[in-house]
Parts: sequence; structure tokens; C-alpha cells
Amino acid sequence: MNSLLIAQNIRKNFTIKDNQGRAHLLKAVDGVSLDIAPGEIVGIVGESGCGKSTLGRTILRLYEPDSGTITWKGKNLNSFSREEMKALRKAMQMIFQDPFSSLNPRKKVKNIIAQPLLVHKADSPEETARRVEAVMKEVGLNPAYKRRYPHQFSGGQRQRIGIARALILEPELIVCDEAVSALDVSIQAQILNLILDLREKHGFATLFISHDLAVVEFIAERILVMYLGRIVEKASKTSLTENPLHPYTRALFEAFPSANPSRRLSKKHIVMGDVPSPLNPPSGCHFHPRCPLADEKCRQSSPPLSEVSPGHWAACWKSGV
Amino acid sequence: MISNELLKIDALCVSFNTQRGKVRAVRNLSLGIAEGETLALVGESGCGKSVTAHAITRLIPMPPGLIESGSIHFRGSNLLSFSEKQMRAIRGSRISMIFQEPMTSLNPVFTIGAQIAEVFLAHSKMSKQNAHTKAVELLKLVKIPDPEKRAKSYPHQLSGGMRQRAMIAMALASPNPGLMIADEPTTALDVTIQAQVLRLLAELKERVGMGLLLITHDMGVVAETADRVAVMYAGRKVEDAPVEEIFTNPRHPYTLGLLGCQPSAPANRGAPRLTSIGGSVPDLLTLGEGCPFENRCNRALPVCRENFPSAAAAGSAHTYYCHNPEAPQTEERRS
Ligand SMILES: Nc1ncnc2c1ncn2[C@@H]1O[C@H](COP(=O)(O)OP(=O)(O)O)[C@@H](O)[C@H]1O
Ligand SMILES: Nc1ncnc2c1ncn2[C@@H]1O[C@H](COP(=O)(O)OP(=O)(O)O)[C@@H](O)[C@H]1O
Ligand SMILES: [Mg+2]
Ligand SMILES: [Mg+2]
Repeated sequence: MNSLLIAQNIRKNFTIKDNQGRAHLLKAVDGVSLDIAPGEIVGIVGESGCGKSTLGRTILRLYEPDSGTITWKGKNLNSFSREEMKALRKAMQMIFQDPFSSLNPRKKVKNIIAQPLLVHKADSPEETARRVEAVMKEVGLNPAYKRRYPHQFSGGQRQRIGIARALILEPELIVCDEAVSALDVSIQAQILNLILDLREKHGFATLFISHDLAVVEFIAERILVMYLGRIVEKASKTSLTENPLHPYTRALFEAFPSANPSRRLSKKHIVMGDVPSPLNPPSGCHFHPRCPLADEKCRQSSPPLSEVSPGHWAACWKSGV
Repeated sequence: MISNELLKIDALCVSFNTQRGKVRAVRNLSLGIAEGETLALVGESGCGKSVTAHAITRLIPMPPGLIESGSIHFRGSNLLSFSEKQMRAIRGSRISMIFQEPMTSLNPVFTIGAQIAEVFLAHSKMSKQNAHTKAVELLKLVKIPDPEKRAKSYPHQLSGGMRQRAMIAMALASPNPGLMIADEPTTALDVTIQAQVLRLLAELKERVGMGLLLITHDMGVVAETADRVAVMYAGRKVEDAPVEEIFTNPRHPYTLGLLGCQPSAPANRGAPRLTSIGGSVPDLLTLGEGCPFENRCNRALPVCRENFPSAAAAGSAHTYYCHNPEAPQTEERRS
């Protein structure tokens, strides 16, 4: 199979101290596998705290996984030389939620955008300037503003700066972590369209992380649904939206406000209860306390992610494997 | 005036004096809410929604804020003529507010139960014990699990969704909640919890018969909850109509654009790109007398720069403010 990146059985734990000073293990990412083909847009959706950002950061090697393997173009990252690792850091970039806090307020925009170039290789100053202007144009920023500071731009423009900075090294994979979540909807639409335009032109793969089902449903070709550190369902967009198998996925779809006032929540079945704490997740299937279908088996053992129909995977004892 | 009108705002203008100049945050705004009705006030950030809510409750910081003109009638009396003492009596009793982040309005050093009981004690004569029992009943009413135990919890011990329920319970503890103002009440919540809270609000509204001013930037939330919708842009109301009408027959190009940008909009399903509105919201400091949407509008005419249009009616309950409105949708095209 032609994969750009394969992550297998990734685990990432954090140790949390309670107010008595006792340490607790928090399984932020609990055995997640995924693969991304070159140029593909894979969406990760789930509610806050389910481990999306941790997964994204672990894949980028901003966090060291506690276990699991990551393979890039067929080669295990553990066997990468220093040179290869350096090249890999160029090839994988990230776009964050809050364009403001991720941009140095004291630096001019042209320097912010050029920074990855400076870190990774020594272009001549003329060449750097040329590339900064080109990438500014590409993301819809007027190069005449290159000497301005981040606070002189609107939220949408700041996100364009973040995209320019990620794009300038011509990456093969971009992780977008809630990249449009802080933006007003009219600006969000512009940025989503920009990401699609740039992907079409440059062919980078995208791991698109968001809590917003509608956004992920629009942009992604394949979708992974996470709940308390685990993947509960993964499928092509069409398969997932037309035939969601996991009760949690269905609950998400049901809860999502529809764009149609004649189909109101009051007429739908909505899931009750809060998302449990990841410090003390429920036994068996993590979703069982909120699940209308749960029985004894669900309380006792955790269902594996299995392929229910070609390319459509679900981790549910009731999904009719 | 309609006989069952609960709130009526007329030609309200609110501005702020800032170092850079005068920000006209709300311009010539008129709104009405009938008893028991849910009006959604929708628009992108900075369009004046929260300022409107704060004007109603007279919580605008003055200075730098100033209510320049207009009136706000609540059950017939003009709130703008009330003394601070009169306003204090109304806030938290007949007009209650809930916010995006309930932590800011809950007192961190008192238990949830004590805070709700306090509202009972402030408005009617009863024993502490009785007030506490009633507080637990309310927590049960807003579907907080294990209400007796939760009444003894402090705000930080509750999840975001539970805190928002506790805020709603507190609003309901007042003797006569005529109007609830909810400013982005579910924006900080996860989508499954948002669905629970929205349903709860709808159920309680039916039960108590209160009017609801629901402020949101989310057209999905509007679709789920509103009876009527007012769309704001850069301090101005641009359209006002029953919810079905807004979604199926928007006449202002901004309303149409706002609906079109939603990734969940029917037109975007399977489309290669989202419908989008170019440009960004104008700086309120430099806005002139024209339509604020003019620079982003694909239907703009020269006159749109000159003046803001007066209200036009599309049917009895639908008004819009546009020199060159979208064509009306016929019944066949809607379905
Ligand atoms: N650096 C960290 N230290 C301790 N706990 C963390 C850290 N980062 C994340 N967590 C915890 O891990 C879980 C997953 O968090 P995160 O990956 O940020 O979720 P999401 O992005 O889906 O909201 C949460 O319970 C969060 O509190
Ligand atoms: N205390 C203040 N001082 C100066 N400007 C303010 C103040 N409060 C609000 N504004 C301005 O009023 C406008 C409307 O704000 P607001 O009503 O909060 O918008 P929203 O629709 O997002 O709730 C904004 O441009 C904001 O900058
Ligand atoms: Mg996150
Ligand atoms: Mg606001």
C-alpha cells in the first residue's frame, strides 16, 4: 500500500499529580493506528480532551510516543539518521488553532514566514525574500505588508500567515490542529477553501483535526472518530456520513445542530451524560455508560477496531461484524 | 404595540469612546420579543450582540460606553429611565442572564446549592432549609445527576456542561423569570453537551413561559432553537424574520452569505469548495453612513455607500434593510 505515513498502536500517557501529590496515569492516546496516503486529507474528530492534539503532536514527533511505531515512506522513524530526521522535520509542518499565540508578536511578518527557511537551510537573502513574497501572494496576503507585525492583521489574515509559514518549506504533510476553530464562519470558509486550493497545487497530505464535525465532514476524504484516547470508527467520508456504525458517531451526528429549522433537536434522540474523565475511564468500551445499546459484554471488555465492511472500521460489539 | 410584547428596543445607539476614536457598536437597533418567544440574535464576532445584551441589563461600562439614544421597554416600562436600584431589582429576578463561561458569574467560594438558595432568599421570605430544598429541586429540574450531592459542590468541581445547567437553575430560581438573555451559552461546550443544554433551555422555556434572547454566532444553534431571528452586521440589524423564513427566504445578501458559508449548508454538500464571503468585517471606527456590508457585497450599488436603507417588509413578520435585496424564493424553489 502506498502510504506516506503509518502510525501503529501509538500510546501517549501523561502523569498527572492530584492535590495530595499522588501520581495518576492519563492515557491521552491509547493505542491508535492510522495511515495517510500522499496528498490525502484525513480528518480526526471528537470532543475536547479525547486526545486529538496529543495524537497530532506525537505524529509530528513533538511528543515522543510511549509505544508504537511510526513509518514514513516505508521506513521506521526509529532507524532514521540525524540527516533523515532533519529532512523529515521539513517535510511535516503544523498549523495551530490560535494564529496569534503561535506568532511571535515582536517579529515582522516576513521574518516569521522566513523562519523555517533560516532554520533549515541557508538561502541567500534575496532568494529568501523572493520566496517569502511568493508564498505571501499564494496565501492571499499582500506582500506590501511584509514589514508589518502580527497584531496589525485580522484573525483570518493571521491564520494565512501561519499557513504561509507552514507552506514555505514545501511540506509533504501538514497537521492542522483546530486551524479554523477560532475564526468567524465567513473567514473560516475562506481558509478552508485556501487549504483545498493549496493542497490541489502542492499535493501535500493533511491531517485535519477538529472538534467540528461539519468542518471535518466537508474537508476530509477519510474520517477517524476518537473517544477518550481511542479510535472508535474510521471510514471514508461517504461511508461514515451515510452509514455511521458506532453509537458514539451516531450520537455526534444527532447532536450536531442541523442547518434546517424543521429538523430540531427536540425531535431527535440525543445522548445524555458527560464525557467521563480520561483519568478514570469506564471499563470495557469507554462509551458504554452513555450508550443506549450497552450490555454486560460492553461493560467488561473493550471491543477491537474491526473492519465491518471494506474500508469501514468500528470498535463496537454491536456493529454487526 | 403588540399586547403580548415582552421587550421592545427602539432605535438604540450605543458607542464607546476609545483612544482611537468613537466606536459605534450598536446603531439604530430595533428589536421586539413577545412573551414566551425565542429571538436569536446572530452575527459574527464584534457585530454588537453582547453590547445589545448589556444595554438591556444596563451593564455597559460607562465610560467608556454611552447609550446615546433609543429606548428599551420591558413589559411597558423604559429600562433606560430606571435608577440603578430599580435595575438591580430587575436583574436576576425578571431578567436573568447566562453567559458563555459560567465560571465568571458563579461565585467560586460558595456551593452551587447555596448560590441558588440565595436567589430564593433574596426574592421571597422563606427559611434557609426551605430555600435549600427548592435549590435541590431546581438542580433536578435542569437534569443535574445526583442533585443532593451536587448542591454541595463548588463551581470548579463541576464540568462545563453542569456549570451551565447550574446557571440556568439559578436563573429559574427568581420568582418571575420573564426574560432570559443567554449570550453564547453553549459556545464553550462540546457538541453532545450543547445538544443537552439547548434541549433543556427549550423545555424550560415551555414550562416557565419565559421569553429568551439567545445570542449566538452559530446558525446551527439558531436553527435548533429560535422562533425568530435578527441578523446583525457591524452594529446594524440587517434582517429580522421567523426562523423558517430566514433559512428558506433570506433577502439580505449578508444573511444569504452567512448561511452559505456553513460547511453543513445543503449547497456545500459534496461541493469542491465552500461558498464564501470575500474580505473581512470593516473597522467600526471608519464606517460611514452607508451599508456596512457594501465592501463585501456582490450586489452592491453606488447608493449603498451613501446611506443605510430603511426597513423593507417581505410579508408581515419579515423585514430587511437592503437597497438591492436577493430575489424572494418561491414555494417550489424552497423545497
Ligand atoms: N501536556 C500535557 N500534560 C498533561 N496532560 C495533558 C497534556 N496534554 C494533554 N493532556 C491531557 O490529555 C488528554 C487529551 O488532550 P488533548 O490531546 O489536548 O485532547 P483534544 O485535542 O482532543 O482536546 C486531556 O485529558 C488533556 O487534559
Ligand atoms: N468596553 C468596550 N470598550 C470599547 N469597545 C467596546 C467595548 N465593548 C465592546 N466594544 C466594541 O463593540 C463592538 C461590539 O462588541 P460585542 O457586542 O462584544 O460583539 P459581539 O457581537 O461579538 O458580542 C466591538 O467592535 C467591540 O470592540
Ligand atoms: Mg486539541
Ligand atoms: Mg459577544
